Amino acid sequence: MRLQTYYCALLSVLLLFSSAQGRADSAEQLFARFEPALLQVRVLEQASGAKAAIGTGFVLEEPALVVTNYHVVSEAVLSPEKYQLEYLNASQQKGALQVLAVDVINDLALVSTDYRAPQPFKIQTTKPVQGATIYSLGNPHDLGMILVPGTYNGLQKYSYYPRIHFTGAVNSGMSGGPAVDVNGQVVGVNVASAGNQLGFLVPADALQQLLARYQREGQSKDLKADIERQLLSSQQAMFSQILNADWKLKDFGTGKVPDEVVPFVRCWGESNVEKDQETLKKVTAFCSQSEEIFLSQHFTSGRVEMQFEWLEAKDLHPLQFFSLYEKNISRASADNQALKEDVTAFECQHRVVRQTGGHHAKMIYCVRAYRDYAGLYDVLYLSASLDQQQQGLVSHYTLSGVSQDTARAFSQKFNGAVSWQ
Amino acid sequence: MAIIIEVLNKQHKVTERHRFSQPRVALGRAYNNDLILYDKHVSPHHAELVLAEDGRWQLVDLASLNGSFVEPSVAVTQSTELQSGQLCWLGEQAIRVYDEHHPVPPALPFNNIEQRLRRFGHPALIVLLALFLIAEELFGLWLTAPEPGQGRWSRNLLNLPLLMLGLALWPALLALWAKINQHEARFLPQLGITFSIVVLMECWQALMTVLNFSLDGAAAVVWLADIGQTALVILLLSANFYLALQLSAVKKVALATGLGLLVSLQGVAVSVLFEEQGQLTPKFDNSLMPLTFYLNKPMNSAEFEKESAELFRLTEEARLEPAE
Repeated sequence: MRLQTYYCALLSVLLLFSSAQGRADSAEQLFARFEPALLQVRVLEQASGAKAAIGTGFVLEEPALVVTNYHVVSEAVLSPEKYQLEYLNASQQKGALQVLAVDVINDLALVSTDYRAPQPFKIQTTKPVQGATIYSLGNPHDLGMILVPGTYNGLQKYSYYPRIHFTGAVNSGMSGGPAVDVNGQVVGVNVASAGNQLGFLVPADALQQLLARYQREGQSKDLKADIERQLLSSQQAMFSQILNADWKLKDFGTGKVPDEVVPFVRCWGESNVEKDQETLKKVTAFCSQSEEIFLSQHFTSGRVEMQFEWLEAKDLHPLQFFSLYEKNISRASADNQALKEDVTAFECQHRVVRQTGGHHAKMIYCVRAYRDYAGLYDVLYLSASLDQQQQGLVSHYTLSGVSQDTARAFSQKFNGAVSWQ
Repeated sequence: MAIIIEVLNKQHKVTERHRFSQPRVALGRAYNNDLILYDKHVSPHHAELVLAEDGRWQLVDLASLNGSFVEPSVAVTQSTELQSGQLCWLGEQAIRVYDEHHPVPPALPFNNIEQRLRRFGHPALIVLLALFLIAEELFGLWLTAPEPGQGRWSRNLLNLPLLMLGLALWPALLALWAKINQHEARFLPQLGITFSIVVLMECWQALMTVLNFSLDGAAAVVWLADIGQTALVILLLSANFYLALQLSAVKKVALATGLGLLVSLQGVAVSVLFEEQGQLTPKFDNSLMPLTFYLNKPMNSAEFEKESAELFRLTEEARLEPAE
């Protein structure tokens, strides 16, 4: 018995060794072949000449351009008077880069360069199979170019913005680097990490689309105007999916609230019901999106978030109940990040509203506008039912980066879905 | 002709008043003087007041250690003729001398306002007001629905005497101030006035809370609440100062108004200073009360939507203005 275990262990060690050996060979060849086509992309602050951010880029075969993430070069796009771009190649040569076109929704940027790599990258036109080995290339933390083997796990299921789920470490600095299959063809672009061995890649399709647009329209004349257009059309597409979906409702207290209305909005819940001694029973459900659109280091957008709270008291006087109820809606803030350079202050209205069904609610509606992107707003809504003396339903949502029409349509759909007795 | 001598303290308040009919009055620390002074810088036989032949009084310094002076601080070398009402110093001891025909101001009638304000010192009224404040405090605690087992009731009940003491501190300070200035302390009237106005403030606050909910947090209610509070603070200070300070009525009210405005402006200044940081969080009225307290007509959904559209227009305007 013991001998058998020993042989088993020996066999598996040998197997592991040989497979590691085999993979290392091809990975080594891949890395040697493509290293000259990998660039470190540096954002330099003009005044100090120091690096403000770093990322990775890779040279394409046709057209001869460099691909990287929008979030790597965002500072140079938004403040060209303050930042400039530079590359550093494997032979330590430096040169200038210029942004030609961006896709903020998929976090991609096309950059022109005078550098010509001997063996540039090609884009893979077919998707890898689930479980296929792919390699992510990049320069993590400015430590030098490396190759990370991992597994292709298809598109992330619950994301509106398409992302490949890559089981392998993608670290900061590798952003914008390519992920290639065993033949060295690009299947995705490194974009984010969600912790240990969980990486995300922008699929090659998105890159193909950006290239097609670039070939059709040429160099962008106004990148900010492009971003504005992309945000407007992306929110329209995403919300038409949300608004056209048949919203599943769930029982919540004595009312009904929407559940996971579309696959990319995920819901969770919690309550204090098990603690019997609480004077106020409280059930919470919240739904949100895991991804957002990166606009700058301190400005994100493109998310929907909803939250519901059911409050129920047994032996409280209505005045007591409402005094506690009031505290539950005292604070609300935007779901996305922004600075005052990015957005205006919130303008709010707060009213007691009699709904068509005859129910009453205190409704709070706040709006702020994006300073650089006309026609886009962040919206915050909060309402508290007023018809019962010891029970209350708080419903809340925030939308970031939506048009006024989208906000209105969402508000109508949301108010139609939330109800209470 | 008789002479009247007022002995003054360091603040030039009268501590003693004497009338002498003899033509010569000896002043000093020794017990055989006509007017015995206490100040340690006064010599035992310091000076004399002498009635001259022309019927005027003269101050004669008796070679004292620290000298004698007359208004405006002229040293008395040997003897100096005095005017009625003139201030003199023996060393550091101030006295004022009058002849008996010196005019006095006419009698003041009883001050109506002061009389009324003093009625606030009635113990029964004070007890009643204190009970109201305690009840109000207990109501506030009850509203937060504290758990019976958590000791919040007892903790807050223990704080009640402390709260009452805190409220009594201000009238006590005023009484002390009056006492220092050798006026009537009038602690109870001050206490009664303070309690009354605090009760009024609480009532105003409660009224504004209901009004705020009824009018959906209208800016006018916020202003009205602030203006009411400021007015009550000014009223409180005016009444307090009326009893405590010996100034003309106009000056008292001006001082009270100035202080009252300063206190409320401080609140405004704080909110302006912190507004900068809070700019990114939305500001809205979250007041919730049972529907019976809503005195306004509720909006319908369509109207709410229309007003929401207005917010987009407002932020669009703000967008075109540069960020600070």
